[in-house]
Amino acid sequence: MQTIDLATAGGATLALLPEVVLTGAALVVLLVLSWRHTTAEDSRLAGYLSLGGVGLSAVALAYLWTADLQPLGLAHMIAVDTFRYAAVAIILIATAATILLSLQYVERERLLAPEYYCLILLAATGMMYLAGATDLIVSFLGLEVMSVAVYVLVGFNRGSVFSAEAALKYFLIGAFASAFLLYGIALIYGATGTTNIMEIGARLGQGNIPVLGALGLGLLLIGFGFKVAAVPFHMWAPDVYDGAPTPITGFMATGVKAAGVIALTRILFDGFSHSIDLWQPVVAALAIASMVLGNLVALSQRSLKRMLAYSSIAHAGYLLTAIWTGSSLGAGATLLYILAYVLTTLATFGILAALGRGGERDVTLDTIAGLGARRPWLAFALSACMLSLLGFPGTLGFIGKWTILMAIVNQAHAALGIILVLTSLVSAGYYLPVIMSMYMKPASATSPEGKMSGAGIAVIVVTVGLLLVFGFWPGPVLGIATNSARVLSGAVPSVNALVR
Amino acid sequence: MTAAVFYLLGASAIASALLCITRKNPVSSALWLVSTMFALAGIYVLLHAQFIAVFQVLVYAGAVMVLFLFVIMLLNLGREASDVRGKPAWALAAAVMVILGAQFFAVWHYTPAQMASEQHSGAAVADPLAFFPNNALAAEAARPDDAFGALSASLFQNYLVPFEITSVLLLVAAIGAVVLAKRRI
Repeated sequence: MQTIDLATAGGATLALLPEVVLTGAALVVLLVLSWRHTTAEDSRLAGYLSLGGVGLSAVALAYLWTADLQPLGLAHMIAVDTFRYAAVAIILIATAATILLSLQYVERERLLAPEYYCLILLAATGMMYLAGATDLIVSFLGLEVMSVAVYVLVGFNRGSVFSAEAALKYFLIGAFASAFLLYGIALIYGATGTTNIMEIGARLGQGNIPVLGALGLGLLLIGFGFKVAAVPFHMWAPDVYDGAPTPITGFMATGVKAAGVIALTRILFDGFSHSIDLWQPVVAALAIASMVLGNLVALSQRSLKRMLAYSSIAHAGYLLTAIWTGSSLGAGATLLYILAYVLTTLATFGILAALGRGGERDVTLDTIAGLGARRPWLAFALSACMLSLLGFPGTLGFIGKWTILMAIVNQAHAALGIILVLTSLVSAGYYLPVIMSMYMKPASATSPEGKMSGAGIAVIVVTVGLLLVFGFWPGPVLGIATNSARVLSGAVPSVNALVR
Repeated sequence: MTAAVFYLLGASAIASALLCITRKNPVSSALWLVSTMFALAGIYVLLHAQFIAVFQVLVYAGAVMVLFLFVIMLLNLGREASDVRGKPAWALAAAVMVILGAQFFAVWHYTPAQMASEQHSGAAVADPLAFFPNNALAAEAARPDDAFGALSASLFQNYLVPFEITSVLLLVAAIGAVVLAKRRI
């Protein structure tokens, strides 16, 4: 074990090694593309370089994880703990998969500006800062780096009206949400005199939270509610997910959501652990509204991309349920569920990108009819993804939902668990028709070929493989998730005094 | 020594300002304006106004000028004249790079303690009394640990990480603006 002083430049650089390496890779890509900028070849080169950057960042992460570093005193600005490392690992997986899926996609859709990859890398660094921040200033800056890069990526298809509409909508709503978040941070600073999350927790103490702090917490929850697309702050999600280039939709649904949920977990658990009575009802209301509305509206969608957008709202609800528990068990469940959701969603959007043309706005249940006969492996992969999103036993999605349920039951509070199970049953109403359409309907003449590049196939084989392997043999990931979450012990003990 | 540095900076400021208003290409005109700002910043340092000097560079030469350049580039003005190509320009670029590299190494070996000792011995900078006839103002200007010291300690020690992330944020915004707004990418 080694202690590092995060207040010095050297210590901070060591603690931020994965982020620094990734930023460096983005700068290298930017430099290279300044004179290799025109052809498909150049775009691919930028993609491979970015992938190399993600790999190096993963090496840096592995070093940090094994080095067992300890911060000197309070973690200053950035956390040095396993919860952050696990979050960064998930973000790096999402980034690598997005880059691999994009290699073929940008060539097909003629999005040949290689800045695309640079922006993906910078968005990923923003996510990593957001997920690891122990200071609200760093949270906000990470959120902005991530958001600004993603606004641009959403509007990257400049020839498409829908892409432009999505970018503008996301930008306006995002700026609105950032304002809420920033005002919340300002009020919390006013109430406590600090922006460090651990110090906020210490200063708020056991007593009553000042009105200013409570207001700040409320604004903070609204800001994060927008970012993770929880009802009632979800209105932007379907249009934006629909209009964005499909790999970017996948990146938004996984990376942005994961970073937001993890940051929210850390802020609520470390900063507001003593005010749990204050935020639990709010988080529960957000979770219930997201689960119910997301799943019910998804039932009526024809376009697969829009259906997945509503399903992602529902999944935000499940994740908020895990946060609601306020226990380290719940934090572990959050991590595990995010991993399951990220892997499944990446594979699903990868398959969707292969099935459609021109932004995949028109891929419906009829488009994939008969896919089981023509492309059995692709149909199998999509079926596995749908079952994992549904939470079917044998997939990682089931393990994720099961750990969330365990965390809820541990709090001796059944209502949320019952709602979670019931809404999951409702979700079968839109996940299963996808499988039925692929295997039980005849193919039409206009069915897509679903050609995939080697990189795309590799992503889908790996993600679906992990879903099934961990679904049957969850021990390792379950252990990592629960151990990583144990550092958030500022939260309530596993059985708290909720039942009074 | 100080007088020589002052005349050098002054001449550079005047020459850059003249070049700024006589260039046809708006980009090079803007770059000469940057050069004027830098020369003025140097003069502020001579006046013991380090704080103003740094903000002259950060705000005027940095933020405002980058905005100018972006607008010019995005509007595609001044296509006809391109005077930053060719062998002499490359040679000039190489020379500037060598000078900047040398400065980088000089700064690398320049410790705060060394700077403090030089400041106290009064070797490096001009006597404030020469510039400020009023004694109180001169004493204020010569104080070693002024608002600037407190600000830089905050900015580069406590808030180093957010400071660096802010620069990444500005980079992302710049790339994004070019990608979305430029006619031909």
